[in-house]
Amino acid sequence: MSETNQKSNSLLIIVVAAISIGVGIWVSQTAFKAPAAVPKNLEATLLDKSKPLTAFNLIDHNNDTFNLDSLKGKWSFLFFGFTHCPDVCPLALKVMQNVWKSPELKSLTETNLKMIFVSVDPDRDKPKLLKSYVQYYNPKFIGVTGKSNEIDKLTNQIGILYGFDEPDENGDYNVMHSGQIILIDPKGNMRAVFSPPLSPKSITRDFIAIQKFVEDNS
Amino acid sequence: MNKILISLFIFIASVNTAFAEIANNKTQPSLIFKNIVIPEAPPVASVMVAYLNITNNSNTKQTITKITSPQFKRVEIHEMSMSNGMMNMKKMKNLAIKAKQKISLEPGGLHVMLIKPIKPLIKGNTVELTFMLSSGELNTINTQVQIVD
Repeated sequence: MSETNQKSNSLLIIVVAAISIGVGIWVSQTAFKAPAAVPKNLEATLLDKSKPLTAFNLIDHNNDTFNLDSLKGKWSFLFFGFTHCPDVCPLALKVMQNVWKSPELKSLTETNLKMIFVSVDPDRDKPKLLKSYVQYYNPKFIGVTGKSNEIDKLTNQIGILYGFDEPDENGDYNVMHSGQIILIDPKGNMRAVFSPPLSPKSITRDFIAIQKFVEDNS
Repeated sequence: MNKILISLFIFIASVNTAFAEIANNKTQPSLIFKNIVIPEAPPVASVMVAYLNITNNSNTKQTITKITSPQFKRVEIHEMSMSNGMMNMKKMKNLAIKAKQKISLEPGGLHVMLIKPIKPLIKGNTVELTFMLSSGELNTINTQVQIVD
């Protein structure tokens, strides 16, 4: 064996060793890394296991299709209510408005966040009315409604309840409904539930922790 | 003759008392309204809400039987409660406040529901509310719509 060959063999061994060490470190840091810890002290209820949502077919406030794909690609906050709601829905939308305005979420709101108000009262909440209603809170907010059976496809899997009272002598009726805000991840999985009393500060704080937890584990 | 005089005296005395009561009511209403908040709502909203504290300053129970406002078609008192996991709203026929008691109408509980604004109301617009009591006493308050965060 010539001296040149011996030199190149040594170099090859060094290169292979270096690559092996590099690959080893990479594998240990990525493939076998410990799962990120579940965030503690959350006020939100983080689901033990993410819940992939199944198909539904609704419309948004521009009369465009709003389905499962519409929930993908960005984090979504969902609230279910009706525009004739005096107390609970305006308060929830105000909370969503304040979460949206949080300085901590500034970079996210522009690219990676959706605020969605789903009306469970499609007879009265037509898209045009919904649009004016939700966009009062923020021009980026999205109003969604649709046929009752399609609304139920979404509410049933999320665990949102609603029901209609008998109309009064003026034909007005109240809609009973759950008061939770639901968090959906960019893959269309239900991740967390924020229950009343809703606080923009704790929702923002919890959302940041949950988002980090989900991204660290994906 | 004496009987006539006594009757006349009693009559005058009772008229005086009645007038005194009316005058008294004028200066000292039975109910004191404080911290009235009407949050601005989307201009398309068909309902708004008023939150406030009401103190019964009198020595007897007072019952609000009706509320009216020139800015709204109807005004009702509602109570929000949780029922079967849902936020439910119940219309109340009246609202009784015990003597010297204070009640708070606040988010998640009692509220004054302002139904169908005659025209959309925004921050700074004045809302007049008249509370009618079972005694016939009327209390009118004025407040401005405000932005609440």
